[in-house]
Amino acid sequence: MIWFILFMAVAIGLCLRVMIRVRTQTKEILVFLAFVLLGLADWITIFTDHKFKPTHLISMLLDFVGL
Amino acid sequence: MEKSKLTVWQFFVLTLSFLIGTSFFFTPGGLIAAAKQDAWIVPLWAGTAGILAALVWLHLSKLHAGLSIVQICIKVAGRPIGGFFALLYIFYFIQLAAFITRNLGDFMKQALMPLTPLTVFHVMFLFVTGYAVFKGIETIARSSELLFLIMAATFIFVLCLALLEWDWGRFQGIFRMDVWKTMKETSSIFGFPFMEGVIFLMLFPFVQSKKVKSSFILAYAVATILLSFSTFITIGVLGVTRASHDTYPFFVIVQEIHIGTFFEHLESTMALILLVAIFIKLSIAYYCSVLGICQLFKIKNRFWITIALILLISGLAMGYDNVVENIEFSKKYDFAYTILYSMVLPCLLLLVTWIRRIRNKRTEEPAS
Amino acid sequence: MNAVFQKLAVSGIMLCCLTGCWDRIEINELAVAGLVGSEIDPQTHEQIVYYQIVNPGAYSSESNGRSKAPVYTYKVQGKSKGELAQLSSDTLPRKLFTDHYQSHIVTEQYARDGLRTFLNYYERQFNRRSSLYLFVTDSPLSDVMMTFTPLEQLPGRLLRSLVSNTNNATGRISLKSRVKDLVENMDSTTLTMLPIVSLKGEKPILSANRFDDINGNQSNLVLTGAAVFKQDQMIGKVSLWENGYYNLLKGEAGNFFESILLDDRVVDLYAHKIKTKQQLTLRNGAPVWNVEITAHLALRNDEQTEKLTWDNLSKITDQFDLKLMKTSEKLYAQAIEKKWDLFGLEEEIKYKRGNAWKKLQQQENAWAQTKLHVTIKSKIENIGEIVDPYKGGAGNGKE
Repeated sequence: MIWFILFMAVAIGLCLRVMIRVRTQTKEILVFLAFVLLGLADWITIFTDHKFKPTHLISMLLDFVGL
Repeated sequence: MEKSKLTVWQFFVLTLSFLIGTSFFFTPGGLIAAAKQDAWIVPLWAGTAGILAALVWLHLSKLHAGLSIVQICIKVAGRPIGGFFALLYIFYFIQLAAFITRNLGDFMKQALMPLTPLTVFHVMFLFVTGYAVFKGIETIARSSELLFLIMAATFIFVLCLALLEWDWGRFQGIFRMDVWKTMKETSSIFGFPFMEGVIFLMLFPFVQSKKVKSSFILAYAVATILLSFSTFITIGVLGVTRASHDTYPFFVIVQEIHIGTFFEHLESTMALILLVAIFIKLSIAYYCSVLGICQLFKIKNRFWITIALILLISGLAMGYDNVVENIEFSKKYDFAYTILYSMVLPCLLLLVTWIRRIRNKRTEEPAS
Repeated sequence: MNAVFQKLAVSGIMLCCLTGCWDRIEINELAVAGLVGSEIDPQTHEQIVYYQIVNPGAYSSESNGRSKAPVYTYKVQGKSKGELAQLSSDTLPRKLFTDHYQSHIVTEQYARDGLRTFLNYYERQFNRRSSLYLFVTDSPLSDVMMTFTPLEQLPGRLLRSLVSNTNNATGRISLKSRVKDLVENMDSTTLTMLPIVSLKGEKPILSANRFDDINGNQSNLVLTGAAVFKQDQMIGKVSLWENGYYNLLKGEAGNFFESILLDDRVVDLYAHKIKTKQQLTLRNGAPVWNVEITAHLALRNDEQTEKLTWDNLSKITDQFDLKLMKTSEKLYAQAIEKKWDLFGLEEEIKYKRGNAWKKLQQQENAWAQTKLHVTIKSKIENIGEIVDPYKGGAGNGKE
């Protein structure tokens, strides 16, 4: 996991550098960061063995609504 | 924003591949287990329901010409609520993309390359699809135009070989189902593949021709018939007993093709067809999620969003432990889950649009 | 330069991820199984599997391929089926590769105890092909698996050829003798027939010197009959000759061979282009199974002394039709007596529509009341090279 986080940190850093250099909109950088962090969080849940299962969430919600 | 155009034929191919692409492979087994010899009838009524739903989407899109579902949400329900709806749709598309990716991984790992880690399939495939997505919908449409022909030709070729095992005796006991019970048991087929077509609400604006309606409906009709046909073939070639016990009945059919002692082991061709089908389907779902995000946040360049989604989709695709979980979810919740996006929300949007129009007319009338 | 370097770097990284690398298989690391046999140890109830591994050394050009065993048989014993494949790594110096094996043999005892767990295990494997032939053996499995077979040196392929040859020559073994045909009848009342293979002679010759022995028959594998399966369980056996008739009635025999007697003289006939039509009808409230067979005949041997004429030919076909009809009826009655539903009649009655059938559907074993009505239409197409047989001294009228 350490390697994964390190790799991602470097990759995100590189991406940000490129983005700033080519003058991407601030909004775009923010959205990009938001989705990357979401993905990263998801991957960390996988590595820590507390897998986030979207289907579980959906089925729980549906059961809750009672469909 | 992108100013691409799709021809009617391209749109037809996209819709058809999206609907039939993976479902011909994954649905017949479950249908046959539930409806036995009559399983081929099930897609017919599900497809009819799909066409009805398609009419609703087409109407919604006609009322807001040139706008995608994300833009319609914002226009109709305003920035905060509409934005929330749009976000819901985007997550639906992302989830769909993850689901398709996982289908690919499961199949490849179980049937062909058991030693390769799942993520490798996912990430590699997402890179390829991501490239197509970055290049835009026209690229996707053109590549699927080409791939579709290859896919269809290979499929027909393999099918002809498989027909050697055909036996009408396997249909003994046909037309004996309890319609209501079967409909309940096979409700997931409404969701997958037919209601998933709601994703095309993102692509309608790209088709300039007025024939979009007929080509979309036609694609639905053809997909329905093909799905019914492939279920029919599965029953006739593999038999009800075996088809209802297998995870991938179509794969088994191809695996067992023998022409003499020299022409066998054709399963890689089947994998090839499936890979192409998944490529088309995934690129549509992936493209729509990227496009939705870009439209919602008014971003001009798709590149960075595409990259960011690879991480998220490959992560979500790992959100199942095995195929059983996947099958169980489809069976129990897929119907309710897709109906929310494909019927409830569009109908709500339609309703609000009508109310607004009526109100607008009333306010306009006194002025004129 | 920079751009080129970037592209190279990207493709390098991509190459590292290529999926094939994980699953690459070196052919030199594999033990390719050609024939597999399984049984259950009667004492310990443990599973025993014999893997017949193809010996690539026997086929390589360097060693001239002479007097070397083309296959080696390994025996693995363990508590469960899944364990066996894993346990094979203790004995096999190479990785067991079962994707391409040709035939599977089970012992009669195993078949009689029921093959359900075996079939489920087998069907679960993704690399399996259920289109391979399944054999039952009434000889000791260890002997069968350790038999060198001359001419066709891979026993797995030999068995496959035996099935197709027999099917071609006499129709006595159906091509539907595969694992999948057994699995397809797992949920039904229709019976399945699988070939029985036996070892000729007492003990097999264990050395590859066997290939230098001229006697091809000695200690070789032969087909000797067919095993009758109800679902996954063997419930009886029939001779090859009987099985020929059952295949004919089922419509699974494309060819057929029978000898008839005409005025005490033998006529051997080979039937081909056989077409079978079956229909279940009701006659006076009782089910009748109508089978209509058409066949083209070839005259293989004719010991009559007359010249072939219209009249004589029609006598031959009439006698042939009669014999087939009589024998089929006799064998059909025997099957019914043993409560063998070889032709899926029970299912067919179950799915019939109409009030008249309802009564039968409520009765248990109604199918056993079914009468057989066979009509056979044959015509002689091929009489061979002579029309008039050589008579020698036997009444040529020139004395």
